[in-house]
Amino acid sequence: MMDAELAQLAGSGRWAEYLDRFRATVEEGDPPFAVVNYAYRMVEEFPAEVENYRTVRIGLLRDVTVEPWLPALFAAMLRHGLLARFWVGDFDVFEAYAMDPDEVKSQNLDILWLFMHGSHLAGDSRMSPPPDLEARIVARLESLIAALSDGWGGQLIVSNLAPPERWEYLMPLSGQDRSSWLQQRRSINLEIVNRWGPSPRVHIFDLDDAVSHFGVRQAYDERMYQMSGTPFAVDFLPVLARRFAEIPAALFNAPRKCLVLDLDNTLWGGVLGEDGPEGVLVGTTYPGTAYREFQLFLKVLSTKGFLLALNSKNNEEDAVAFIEGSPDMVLKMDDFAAFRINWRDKVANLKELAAELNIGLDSMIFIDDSAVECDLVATLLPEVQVERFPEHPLDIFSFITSIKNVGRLWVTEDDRKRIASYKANAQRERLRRESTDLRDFIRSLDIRLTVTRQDSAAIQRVSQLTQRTNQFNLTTRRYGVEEIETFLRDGGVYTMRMEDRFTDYGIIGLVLTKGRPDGVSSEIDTFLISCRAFGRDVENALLRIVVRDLGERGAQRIWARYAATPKNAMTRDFYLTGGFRVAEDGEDERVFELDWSGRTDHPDDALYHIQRVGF
Amino acid sequence: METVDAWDSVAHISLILAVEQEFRIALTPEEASLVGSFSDMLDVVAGKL
Repeated sequence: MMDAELAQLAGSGRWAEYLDRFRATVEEGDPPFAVVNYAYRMVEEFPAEVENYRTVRIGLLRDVTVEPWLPALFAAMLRHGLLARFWVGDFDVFEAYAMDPDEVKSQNLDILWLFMHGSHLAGDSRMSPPPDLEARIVARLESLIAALSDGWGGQLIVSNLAPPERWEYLMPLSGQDRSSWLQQRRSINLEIVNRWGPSPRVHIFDLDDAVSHFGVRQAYDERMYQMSGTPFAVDFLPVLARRFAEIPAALFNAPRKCLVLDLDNTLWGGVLGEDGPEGVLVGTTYPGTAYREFQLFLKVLSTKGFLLALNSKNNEEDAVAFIEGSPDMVLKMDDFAAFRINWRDKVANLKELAAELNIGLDSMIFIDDSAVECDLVATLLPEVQVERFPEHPLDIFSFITSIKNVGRLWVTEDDRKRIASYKANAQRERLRRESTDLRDFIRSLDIRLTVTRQDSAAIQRVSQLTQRTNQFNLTTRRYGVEEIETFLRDGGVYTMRMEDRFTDYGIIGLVLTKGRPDGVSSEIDTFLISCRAFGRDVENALLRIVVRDLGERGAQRIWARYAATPKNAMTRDFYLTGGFRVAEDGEDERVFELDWSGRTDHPDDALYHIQRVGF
Repeated sequence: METVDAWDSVAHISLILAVEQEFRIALTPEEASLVGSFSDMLDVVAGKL
């Protein structure tokens, strides 16, 4: 019995195990309300931080009773390894918190959810609304969001308006009446996405879709609403919570970058080696339609910056011939950044794919129909997210929507370019093998570096780089957009974009600097290079550019730091190579300093075409 | 429930929701407000099964 186990773990203060145990129950399917409540009731006992779980403090400003949702939200967040703590604002108080943000600030929130119930917003006038009701509601949202952005400044989640729970008596033919509440609500939702659609600090929770998808009649519970002011039915709460949790998960978890796919019974139905190219199921008639749908979904993900890779037990020659030759295959070999089609074990293949693509196993999602393969990968490579592909073709459609960590709050231009740059890597590798000397190799690539100072246009990408870069990252400090804004205002933000004769990599280097209180020295807070740009010595070129700029801006001494993580050992001596000397040396942290003594040109700068912008 | 210190309206609603979901029954607001003890709850549930 889970309750007894949980009680025991709670009794002995083993909170990480407590959360692991409950998380496992949640992963199996939505547990009943009573079970979720039971697990959540210990929340007050939890210490501020629990090992392996990132705490996310969520505030709610609301005009309905949200307290019964909290256990479900807690459970849904746990599926993403996030430990949710809540603060709930007073009932129907919005403007007061927004205008005087001290109370909200004092809660140390990570995110604030603005939940305004459609029928409350419209009030009694929803029966026969004035035509400008939508404009007034949007204006209210606008001023609330502006005030919260100014006064509080953190991440905001705004839910849009769900279809109304009662409609029968609103208007018999409201489908024809533009000013009916039904139509004005739709228009408000469009306006919400027009104004706050992909933006750095305001995120939209599509409650409208969550309720519609679940079914309006099922989602609401009029009786509970009358009794306690909570509009939603108990069966809808896990669905609401799961949909909501996707946003904090995308905000706070390191994103997965690569989907590694099986072929037989995953990209197509049947086994190519047994059924032959004629017998394999994919295309425009069922059940091939389901597999084709999955391929279309993968194709979309690849346009959003996900890498696709293959890991299949097949004869490579036969598989490639089918993929390239079949008109029904949506995905072609060109869509895959790397592949292992062989008879070796899939765990070894996964490790090789990670090495070839220069990404961590913890950014991979492995999709396979075989329970044995899935178990093996989950056991031997726990960092890999494993998704078991369904047996029945009809289950593919719901499987697609259940895959975690494929949502993106926004897609940057660099995400779109990532695929091309990984493919170009293969061509480049050939060139490297042909060149004997690194300088010759770099010269042959015809590299153009554009270093931009205070690049405010790239703020999302800059934040993303601090979140995602693990290997060539000297201090591994993760920054949100608002923290980057502080550097733009008070310090230095240097981005480096790289192009070579094969591709445009986008922004692959970042340096954040700040002045020291003494007024005559500067500190390099963050120095990182995306792994796609390794092996071209551009990190040293970037360091020289930044050091020179800091010096010319009056810094007499420049400080820098290396903080060891399990992944960044390659950067341990980076500053030494760059001419710094060690000021403090330790296993986990090294501090470096450099006295600026005027500009000297470095011969290696001639290897690149360097352009400086905004200096 | 009057004898449990931590009892409040949220706990009350949560209990009603849990019982309703478990037994697939629905209490009217009148019934829900009358439930003040474990035996009250037993009576209400038994009457609906």
